[in-house]
Amino acid sequence: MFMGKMSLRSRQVPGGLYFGPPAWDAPVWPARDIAESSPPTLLPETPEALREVLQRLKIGGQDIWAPALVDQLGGGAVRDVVLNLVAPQPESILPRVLSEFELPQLITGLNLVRRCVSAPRAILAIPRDESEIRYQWGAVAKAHPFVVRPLVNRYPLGHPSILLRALLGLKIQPGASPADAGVVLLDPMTCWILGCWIEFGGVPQWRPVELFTHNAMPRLIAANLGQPLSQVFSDAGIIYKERQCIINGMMTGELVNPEQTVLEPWIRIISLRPPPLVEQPVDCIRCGWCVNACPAGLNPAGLMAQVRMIDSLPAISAQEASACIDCGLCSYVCPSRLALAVTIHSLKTADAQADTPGEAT
Amino acid sequence: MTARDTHIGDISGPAQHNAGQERPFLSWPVARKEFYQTISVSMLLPLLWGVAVFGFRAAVIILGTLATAAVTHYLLERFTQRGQLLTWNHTLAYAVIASGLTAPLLTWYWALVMGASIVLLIWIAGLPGKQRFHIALLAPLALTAIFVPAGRWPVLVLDHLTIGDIDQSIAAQIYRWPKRSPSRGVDAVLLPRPEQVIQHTLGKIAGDPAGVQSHIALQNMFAMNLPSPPALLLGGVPGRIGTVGIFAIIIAGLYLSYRHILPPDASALFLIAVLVGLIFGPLSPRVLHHEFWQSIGGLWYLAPERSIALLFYEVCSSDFIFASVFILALPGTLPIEPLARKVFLVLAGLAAALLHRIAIPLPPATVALLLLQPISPALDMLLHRRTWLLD
Repeated sequence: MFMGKMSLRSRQVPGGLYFGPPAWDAPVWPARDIAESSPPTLLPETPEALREVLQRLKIGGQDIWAPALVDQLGGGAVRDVVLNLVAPQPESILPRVLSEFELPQLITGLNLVRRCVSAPRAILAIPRDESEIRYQWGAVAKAHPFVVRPLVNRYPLGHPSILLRALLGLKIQPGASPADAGVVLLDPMTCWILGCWIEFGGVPQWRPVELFTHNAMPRLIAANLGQPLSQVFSDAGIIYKERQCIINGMMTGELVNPEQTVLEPWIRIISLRPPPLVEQPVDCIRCGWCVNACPAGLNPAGLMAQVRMIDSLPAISAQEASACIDCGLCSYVCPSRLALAVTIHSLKTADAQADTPGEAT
Repeated sequence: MTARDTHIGDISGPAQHNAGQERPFLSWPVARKEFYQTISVSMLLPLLWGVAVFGFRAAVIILGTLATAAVTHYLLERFTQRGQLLTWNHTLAYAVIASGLTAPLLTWYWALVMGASIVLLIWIAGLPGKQRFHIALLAPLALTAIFVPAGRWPVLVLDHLTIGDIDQSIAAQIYRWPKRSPSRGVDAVLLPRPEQVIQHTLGKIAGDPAGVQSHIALQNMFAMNLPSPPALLLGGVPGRIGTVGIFAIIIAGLYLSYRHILPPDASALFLIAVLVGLIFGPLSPRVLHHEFWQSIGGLWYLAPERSIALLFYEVCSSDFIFASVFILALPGTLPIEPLARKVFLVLAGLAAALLHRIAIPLPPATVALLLLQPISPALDMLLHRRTWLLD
């Protein structure tokens, strides 16, 4: 039975197929008013000035997929500004929709950042199969110092470490600032908000959020910041009781209680589904799928052997866990249903704590 | 402006295969159960092919093995504490592969013994996820080697496929898959196994490939003592139940690759290593300190067409293709580190070619993989790939 599903509803990812939700059906930008005031007369021109603006507008606090812009400013010389238009998770379309409906704001925001960090050019990382926005940005690039770089989007290409390696051959350790390598990595949402600020003088107090629900097409809605997720569901006419609520995608997301969680600026995706049947983990069968799937080139089963005896599998140094990008692919493909991603994350955290003076136990 | 959004129809949302409470909240829909199930399902076609070629006695061996394996599994699971760790899919996968490695001439009651011993061996040392060695596969190898004579094996004639009795056979003078029964009451012909013929000829020509005797031996081998290439590919040759249907094995291999169970590059590398071993290895164990011309590679200069034909027969008549699909698909055969895998496959391929030339009475590729399997963890440790992010 699942063979049929495999061919009909799947997207290719390294190490296997991604069982994502069905394809989107011509999403529409959930436009809402933006509280207007007078547009800024004096635009920031230095990294310090831009940082001040970002702090004032409270733009920052991103997740593993989008390092906060405010943390990347004020370092050394910046060679390139990279606008990451690659969707972090296969089911996400926000970068595409933003490019389609809010292109002027994106261009304005991108040019502002480029000027502030004195970067000679901006690179646009665009999925190769998104031909529409590729041509759209290609036309824009003729009038601006932008370079369009189409990439084959295989999860987790949107991750900073993987993207900058594919794009510029850089090795950015997970959690490290791309600015250390002379690059500023910009996510489209930050870019859009900056564009809105220049255009309207204010920033939107709502966010476009992708909503995935069981037995329904995904939709893009506008939800107010600070609003409980339960309210977001009620406004959208969705029953959330007795459902699992997962924010920011099924691969690297987080399980939350919609009544106790409010919409934060970094919440891009909300998924609701009935609680699934949980398969219990069994012994590792040494299939090697996790090794094949790992985009960081780790041996997840070997790292797992650090904390749990795996027959005939030598344990790998726990130090290597620090290179884990937390994409979750190892756990996703594991036929033994081992909690590889969570275990490696805990090894990584323990290793980081041991390295921090004063916190070592 | 007001918020606008789309909401169309009833279409299933995110898939729910597995998915626990911890991220990721989705899982690739192949769990351990499906892993072994897929291997068992893919074995069906080669086994059915074997039943067609060898008749109901092959079916009796397969069903007998499966039935006793099931009964033994049930009893161990029911009455022993350790038996509760056995899983049906794991047992079934080993039972079908074991029956594929069995000679059709094995007497039926030995098939029952085999079915029981497979499960007992798994129960003792090879529980799912614990096995360091495919110990269950020792049963068919040992039983076939001990209880089936190595010389001529029967194969049904074309008009008695499936329904014929391989016990009703006569020795054939010329290596040919007869279209109809040679005489009444005879369903099959006894033919020398192709690998035996090849070994015999290679032994003769090894000393002097360019000599007259070698020329005659090669002539005889191709003219009288080897099946035609179509017969070889279609399975009309004496062999083990699951290894003779080359087309069926290739189809099964494609299916396993499609399901991501079998890494196709691993199969390819193994077969390339086998070919290299067969081309450059000595023609016979008697000339281990050989010169180049005492190999198939050397034979190329003397008779290019014959050397290619010989290579084709060597690869197709043995279990190389079977092992490159089913034994490699079994989890635990290969190391998990990419470089360790490559080294393992090259070593295993060369070892298989060498065992083939030594002419052991066992399937060389399966034996080579089983012999090298215990060194997989050591290779994993030695050839561990350091992540590119920490370089």
